[in-house]
Order: sequence, then structure tokens, then C-alpha cells
Amino acid sequence: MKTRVLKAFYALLGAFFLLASAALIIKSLIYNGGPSLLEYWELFTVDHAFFGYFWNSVFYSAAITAVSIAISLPLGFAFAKIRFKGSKALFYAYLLAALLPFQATLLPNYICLKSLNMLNTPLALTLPMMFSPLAVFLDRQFALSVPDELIDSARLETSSALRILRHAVWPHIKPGAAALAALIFCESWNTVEQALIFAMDNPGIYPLSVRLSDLPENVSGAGGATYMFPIFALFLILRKPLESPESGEIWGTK
Amino acid sequence: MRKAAKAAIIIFGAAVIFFSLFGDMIYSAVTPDVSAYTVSAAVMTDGGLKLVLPKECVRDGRVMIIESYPAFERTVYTARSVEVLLREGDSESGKYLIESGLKQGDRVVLTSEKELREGDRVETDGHG
Repeated sequence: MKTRVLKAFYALLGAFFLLASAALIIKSLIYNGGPSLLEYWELFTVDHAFFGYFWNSVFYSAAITAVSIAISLPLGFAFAKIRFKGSKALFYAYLLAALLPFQATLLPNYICLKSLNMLNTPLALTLPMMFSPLAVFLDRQFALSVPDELIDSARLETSSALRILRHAVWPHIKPGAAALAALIFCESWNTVEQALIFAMDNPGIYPLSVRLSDLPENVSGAGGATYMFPIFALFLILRKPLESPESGEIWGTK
Repeated sequence: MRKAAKAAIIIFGAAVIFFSLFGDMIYSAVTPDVSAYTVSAAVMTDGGLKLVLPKECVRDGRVMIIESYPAFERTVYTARSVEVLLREGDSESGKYLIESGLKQGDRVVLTSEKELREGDRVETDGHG
């Protein structure tokens, strides 16, 4: 009984959060008072410039997610399972960096990008977000859940830390990495301020999150629904690892 | 339900990729090209308008003019029908003298790839 009530509660909570998205999708399917796909037709043909910014966003978010995961996984594993001098101090420095709001690092990032002549380029919109301390922290937590005995037995086969990570640790932390990838993608997909500040003289490289508000009202529903689409597609891709049996071990529900 | 959601996402994704590659081309293909004349100050007189148009531009005392409105990073042109006053007795020359109904700056459709109706989208080269 208690489980059923809990399940119903979670389902209602999920539905509540989806309400705004559902309303947007329904609005996009109504044109001149009746059901129609004309709004999407208008957006995809007349307002075709929309796609330039859409693919900008896809490229930036995919690049940021891929590089973040590729960098944070070995780092997190190193902090969790490898003893080296200064690891604790370095990890606390990462924690401190993770706690800083992005507004605090905006100006230093701007100065750094300007001195490297990277302002108003796609690198300015991707590089600062690729090195996420939060990703390293979370990957460390995921790696801590892997039993030490597994690492020790893998060490009997190979001394390469990367091979141990690839063959022994990765199958266990895949659900965590999938969740982290989803979080990083969503965060980078919705970025606005960094694009406005780091690329203010080159509006052609703006992500869609910046230009979405400039869409004409007659296609705003379709624009919003198309903007949400990659998030749904990402969940579709990551659903299997997120729902795998190992995910219970990561989240502590087993 | 899950399969339906998966199918919907895949179809929508295919549509996004298709239209991002060919959307502009499709718009150009379905939108007829028109040539237009912009009513200039030279034909505006104190007595009104003194504009000669080919007979084909006038239908039942109405001409099509082009209106523009801003879309997302482009200008969209639509055709609108306006009533004009023709001078009588000039239909044999193949041209009409328009006396009123148009104002300076109006862009009158001279030729069109297909017959236009009120509200139709058109593409124009921008010259008048």
C-alpha cells in the first residue's frame, strides 16, 4: 500500500513538472484554432534561420558533454582509488571551485579568453564549460562505490590505470556517467549568459537558447517544442544505462 | 506508450534533419516568384495617380500589391488585393491608366509564376 502511494506520488510529481512542456507541445499543434502542423511548417521553412542556431546548440552541448565526461571520468577515478601526494588538497580545491557560482568566474574567464584571442569564436562558448569541477566530484563519488577488491583483482591483470578504468570500473559507473552526461548536456543546452558575453560581437555563433525569444509569436510554440526535442532524444538514448540494475548500486537504492 | 514516444521522437528527429537541409529550398520551391513595380513619386501628381499598367496586372478593377513583414531573420512578402480606379476607354491599348487606389511606395505585381490569391506568399527580387 505504502509503495503504491509513493509510486502514485512520484508519478504526480513527474506529471506536474512536465505540465509546462506538455502545454507548449499542445500549443504548437494548434494553428488558427484547430489542430495543425502548420506552425512547424512555418518554422521549418519560412523561419529556416532557426536551424543555424539549433545546430550551434547541438554542436556546443555535444562537444561540452563528450569532453567533460572524457576528462572527469579518469580524474574522478584517480581521486577515488589512486593514492598520490596532494590528492586530498587537490580534491578540496576542486570542491571549492565547484561551489563557485558561474558569475564569480565570468570575468576571469572573459579576461583569459580575450588574452587568448578566443572571444567571439565557438571555443569561447565551449572551452570554459568543458572542465567542470562538479563532474569530477560526481565521478569520484561514483567510483567510490566500486569495491576495492575489484580494482585489486584488475591490478593482477594489468598495471595500466586507464585499462583498469575501462574494463573494471566503467561497467559499474556507466549509469552514473549517463546521468552526469544528461546533466551536463542540459546545463550547456540552456546556457545564455556565457554566449551573450563571450560572443557578443558574433551573433552568428549564438546557441538557440539566446535567439529563442526572438522567434515570431506565430511559431513560438513550435520553436519551444523543437528546442526541447534534443533533451527528450537524449533521454531516449540514455534510458538503458539509467535504468540498468547497476544504477541502484550507484544511487544507494540497493 | 514507450514505443509510441520513441517512434515520435525518431520521426521528429528525421523531420528536423530533413528540414534543416532542405527547408529553405522547399520554401523557395513553393513560393512563386513575382516581379513588381514600386509606385514612385514620378507618377504621383497633384491630381492623383498617373500610372500605366499592363492589362494582365488588373483583374476586375483590382491589382495585387506586395506587403512585407519581418519573420525570423528574413522578410516575408505576401500578396494583397487592392481596388483601383481605372480610366475608361483605354482597354484596347493593352494597358490601363490607374487614377487612384495606390500610393507612393506600393509595390504592384507585374508578373507572377502562378495566379495569386489574397494572402499568398511570394518571392520578389526586390527591384521595383
